[in-house]
Amino acid sequence: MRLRSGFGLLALGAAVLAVTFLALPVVAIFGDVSPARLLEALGEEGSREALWLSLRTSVAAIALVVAVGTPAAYLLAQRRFRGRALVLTAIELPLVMPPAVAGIALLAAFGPRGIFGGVIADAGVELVFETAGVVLALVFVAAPFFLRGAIAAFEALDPRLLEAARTLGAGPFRAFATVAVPSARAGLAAGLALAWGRALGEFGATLLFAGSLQGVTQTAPLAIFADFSRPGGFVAALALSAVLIAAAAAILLTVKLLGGGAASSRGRADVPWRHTSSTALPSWPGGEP
Amino acid sequence: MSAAGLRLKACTHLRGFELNVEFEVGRGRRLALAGPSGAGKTSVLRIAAGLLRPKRGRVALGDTVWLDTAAGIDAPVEARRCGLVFQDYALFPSLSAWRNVAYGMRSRRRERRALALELLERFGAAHLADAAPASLSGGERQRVALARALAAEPSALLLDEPLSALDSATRGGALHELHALLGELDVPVLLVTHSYDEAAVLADELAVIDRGRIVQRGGAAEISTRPASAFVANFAGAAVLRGEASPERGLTLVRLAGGGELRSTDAAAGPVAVSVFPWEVSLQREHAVTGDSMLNRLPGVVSSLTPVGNRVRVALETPQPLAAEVTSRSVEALGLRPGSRVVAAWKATATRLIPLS
Repeated sequence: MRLRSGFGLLALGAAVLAVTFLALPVVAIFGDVSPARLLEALGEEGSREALWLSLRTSVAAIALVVAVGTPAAYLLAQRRFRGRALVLTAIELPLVMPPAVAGIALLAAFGPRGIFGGVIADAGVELVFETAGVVLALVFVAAPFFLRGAIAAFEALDPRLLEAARTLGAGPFRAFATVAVPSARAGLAAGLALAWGRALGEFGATLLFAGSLQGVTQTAPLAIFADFSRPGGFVAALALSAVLIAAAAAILLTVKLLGGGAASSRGRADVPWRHTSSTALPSWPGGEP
Repeated sequence: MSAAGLRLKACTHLRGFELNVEFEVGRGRRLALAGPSGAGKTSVLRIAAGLLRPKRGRVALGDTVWLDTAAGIDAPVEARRCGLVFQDYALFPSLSAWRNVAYGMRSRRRERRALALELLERFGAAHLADAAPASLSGGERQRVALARALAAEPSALLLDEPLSALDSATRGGALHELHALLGELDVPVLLVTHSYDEAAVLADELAVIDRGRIVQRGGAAEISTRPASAFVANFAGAAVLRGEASPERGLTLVRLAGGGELRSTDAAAGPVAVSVFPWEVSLQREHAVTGDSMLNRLPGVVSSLTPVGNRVRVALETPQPLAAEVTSRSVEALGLRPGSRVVAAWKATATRLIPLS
């Protein structure tokens, strides 16, 4: 696209506006808090506990989501059946659900007076006001992000790759594990990063379903809100926010780099004679001949 | 028929027509299913490999029944172990070339790299062992795909348009490499192609398939000289002769196996397949006085006359069977009938050479 055209300038303006608006608040957090204060905030018992809890619960939730979600997404991507659109919509519903509603829904299903409350209590499992409840809430809100990405990645897979694996003696599981997953890894990693990011930031569903008990269910976002609500706690909230942002950014980058598709969120199918996104030439606006 | 031959009989509905085929390929034999695009060729390969289940059918390798819809037998793809080389090769993008080759190996894990390198070496592709499939050219992909299929010690080799993903410059070389390779295998080979020349060079036997049915089966010469229908005549273009080429004063001289000489404007040396379209070949009476520009003349005896629309396909007993296509009017004018002695003549410029070494 030529920048000198009217539309080129308009698009450039829109791009600058979008990037500035999204980056500015993030930069402001780091600008507002001195590194010394940051370290000091991290030294506080409550903050450390909240961060550690966030890490533990989000890792557990993501592990569950990936372990169950990957084969589930593979099946949903491969099979065409009646009511498939309905199933896909049901999976995506938590994405557009307000977090508070998600919390209410979880209580209605798994709370002490919920549909499965009796069964869960009989099994001797405590969810409400327990760390396990946090994990459950995180799984509920984060899973759709991973599933969506994974289904799209598996759908983009060339079915002949799986057929080739089968003719070479691989059973369905080996074809899935050694061909489908590695071939779709960029899309899977992108979905994983989004889901993990969502789990780290989860607030509403956790608060309603598991409460905000320091050291048990008070994750970093809940601790930030607690700090923010207490007089003079804004700086502490700011410091914890900065750490959370840094952690989220690190996760996003690491996962994407491991996935091998730094900028691509789509699964890469084996398309000969076409460059994959990572090998495409950089195109700087106006720099093209 | 040797014990481990591949027998296939299938009947199923494809887009817009019924597929109904039956054939067998012996061990070490090569059958080409040749026909236009959309004739159902690839579906036959998929049925053999187990990737497509026909409505009714039976597939067996020797005494092992892979599919018998009547008896409810349907062996899974991985149990059949057909080496299937896909049209676009379907290399695993996340694995390097040698790991692609090693994928289906049955040998012990630590021996696999050495074995893969050995196979790649045989295909002249050992230097590509660590390359990613995305970085390979079409010809290189083809070699890796063939090596991968063979590394799995397949019970049968199935090739889907093995040369169609290659550009025309690469195709000639790949054709003769494939020809040499297929000659060494002792499993049944079933290949699918829309190119009659490829089929004639690569296979011992051809089955011409049109809209789901095998309309004629036989050797390349037989099909070219005695087409069963106008469709086969149009599809089965060139007669393919074998010979030994050597350069001669700006042209190429080909000494045909069994006797006779030809000249071609194509450059080649060593064993070649010569392809001549029947409609390029004109017929003259023996001892006719000629003064034309045709360099190639082969005397022969008319063995059969097959009307094809308003033309007649004339089969000639020359050292190697040759076909000419002439008008019915010319047949009358020359008084052609089986047993007539004629001279087949065509230009060196209409003589295509396919190197086989």
